[in-house]
Amino acid sequence: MITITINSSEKKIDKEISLSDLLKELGYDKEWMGVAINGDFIPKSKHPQTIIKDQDEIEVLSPVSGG
Amino acid sequence: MENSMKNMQNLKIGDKELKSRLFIGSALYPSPAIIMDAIKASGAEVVTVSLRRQGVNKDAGESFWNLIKSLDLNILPNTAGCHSAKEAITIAQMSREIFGTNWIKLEVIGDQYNLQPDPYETLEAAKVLIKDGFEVFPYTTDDLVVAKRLVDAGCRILMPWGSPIGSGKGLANPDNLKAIREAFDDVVLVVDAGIGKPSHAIEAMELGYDAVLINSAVALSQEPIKMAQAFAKAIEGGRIGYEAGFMQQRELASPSTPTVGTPFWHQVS
Repeated sequence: MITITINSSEKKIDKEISLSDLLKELGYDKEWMGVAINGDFIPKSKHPQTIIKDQDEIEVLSPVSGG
Repeated sequence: MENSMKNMQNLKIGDKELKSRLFIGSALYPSPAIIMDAIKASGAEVVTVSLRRQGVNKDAGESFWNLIKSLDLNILPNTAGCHSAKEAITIAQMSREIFGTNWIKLEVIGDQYNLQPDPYETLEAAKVLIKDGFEVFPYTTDDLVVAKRLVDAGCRILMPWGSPIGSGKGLANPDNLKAIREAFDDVVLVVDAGIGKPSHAIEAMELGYDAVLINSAVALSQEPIKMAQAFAKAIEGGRIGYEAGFMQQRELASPSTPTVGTPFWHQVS
């Protein structure tokens, strides 16, 4: 069992999975979303080979208005 | 008769040529419909957007992005809310992937009270991003030395503040802005933040600034669509005036009507 946070919400997952699979499970596998793990941007091309680790802090962002 | 109306010069940014010198923000409008109508009314060809945490409503980001994409304008993503170079770099990289542009409005805040940009973190982020192929539009103060450091780092655009973000106070230090203009002939200068009314935008253009970025002044006006038009006209007027060249100021009055043949004239003894 590993514990991660996604946009500051804690989540427990029972096995190691790839970032792609995690995003798919959460419905966050969209082209207009961007992901960072522990503050580092992870480009979409690297999602399949990125394995989620215990205590990872994941940020999923999407477009909003801005000035 | 030939139409002798003169247009203002186009603004060149990298390989893009823009007819409008108004950059517009997409935030704070009363409704999505008004965002669209106000942006169209402004004639702007550059619109700013941002990134935030994906919320419960998974479709919100998509619908906003589709709305903005449908305008077919140049997208200028910002790094608003970042407090360190590292955060800003991460947001810039993410923005490039999502919005499909290497343009980034680099905004690293150093003080929460007046949202003053942090020059040290901004400079550090600018160096990394330029090396990584970004066209960096750094939000900065009107400090000439900070401007110099940013240009030395490779910035071809600077966005000094007029006054703090959202204050609507106009150009707090026109002399400082003027010094930056005089120092950098070939840098694109955009006044970003603090513009509250069209006369402020005219003042910026008359100082020789290349463009103005406006958001709150339009979005928070009583009639955003009308205000967007007012800014478009003001910016065009200010720019054409600047291109036409101003008269020299004089210490004393000087009559504009010919003095020869003045009626009822008498020699003053």
